[in-house]
Amino acid sequence: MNCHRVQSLLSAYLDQELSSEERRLIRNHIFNCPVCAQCLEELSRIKKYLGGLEPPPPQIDLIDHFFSYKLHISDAVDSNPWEWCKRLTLTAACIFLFLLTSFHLFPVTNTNRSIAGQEVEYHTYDQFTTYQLVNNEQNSNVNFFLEEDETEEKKKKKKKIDDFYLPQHKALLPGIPVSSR
Amino acid sequence: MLQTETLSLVRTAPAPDVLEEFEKQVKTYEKAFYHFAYRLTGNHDDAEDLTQEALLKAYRAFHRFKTGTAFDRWVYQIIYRLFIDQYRKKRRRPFVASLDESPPYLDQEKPKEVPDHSKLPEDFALRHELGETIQKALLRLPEEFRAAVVLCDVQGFSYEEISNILQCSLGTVRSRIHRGRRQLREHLHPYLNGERGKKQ
Ligand SMILES: [Zn+2]
Repeated sequence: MNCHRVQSLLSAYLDQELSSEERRLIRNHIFNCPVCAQCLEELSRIKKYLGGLEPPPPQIDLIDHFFSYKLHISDAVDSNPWEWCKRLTLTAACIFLFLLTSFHLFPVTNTNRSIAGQEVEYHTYDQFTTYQLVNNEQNSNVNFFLEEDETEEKKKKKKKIDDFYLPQHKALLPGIPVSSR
Repeated sequence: MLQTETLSLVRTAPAPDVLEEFEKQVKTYEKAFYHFAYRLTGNHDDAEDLTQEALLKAYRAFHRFKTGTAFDRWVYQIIYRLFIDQYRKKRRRPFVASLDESPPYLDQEKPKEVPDHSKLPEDFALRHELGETIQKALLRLPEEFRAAVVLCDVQGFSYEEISNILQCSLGTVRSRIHRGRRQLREHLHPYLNGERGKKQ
């Protein structure tokens, strides 16, 4: 073992945290090397000084202070209804602020409203020219319709209109409001 | 399930047995905790705050403490973590110096300190002065080194126990203690020589 290696192990040697083999090697080295012996001497003196440090007396009675004061204060903060009120108010304020901001950022303008209105109108059956459709086909079917009773007639008309707007596959197209049927 | 029960027991006011048990444990180690905090922070105000904060944290997490494990090591760990987290940020450093630089106060004190040791008749005065000088030197160490050295030399823990408290490997503990002592040796060099001169 060279001096550098020995000196890096001296602290652990002092603390008896080395294997017996390492301890033996270091003892041998120190016996012959005054530099490392001096280093060990100083390190052990430091260890001794630190071990002899007097514990400083606390300025207050820690235990008393803790159990009679600190603990109650922290408990009071946790269970104080005012504290909870504050938290609730803060949460409500946050939500309000969020809503305010989103309305401000995405306002309902007249253009938006009219577009929305148009779409709804377009898909509403009441607005279509149903009479025309029926009339166009009346030529071929008028006699047939006249012979049927009124309710049957209405049913057929409705079916025809449905077939016209929802042909073949009979599935709802995306974007057409279900409520309008 | 068991944990929630214990938690509610701790958090609600009437929990005499838990509080009693906690108080008993704290009373056994209170001086050692405070001593550790004092050596880390270097002044009474911070040491008191640190100890109280750590005790409060320990009290709140007492349900997580497994009976049968070492209570003191557990609290030391809390103190250390708190110290690293909070006190590092707001520590009051009287000077900012690199470790290689010679500290200004040691330079000033050196001429009067070294001869004084041979003259001081009272052991108490000498010990007091020595204590202050060592504390100043401790404060110059990086926090991790300081904690490791204090736990080893002041509190007398083994390397394994220290690795447990500081949550690092045995190799790291060994290296921190070694480097910490080496730096202390440099800072206290004039003092060590003075002592040696006195004894021989
Ligand atoms: Zn050597």
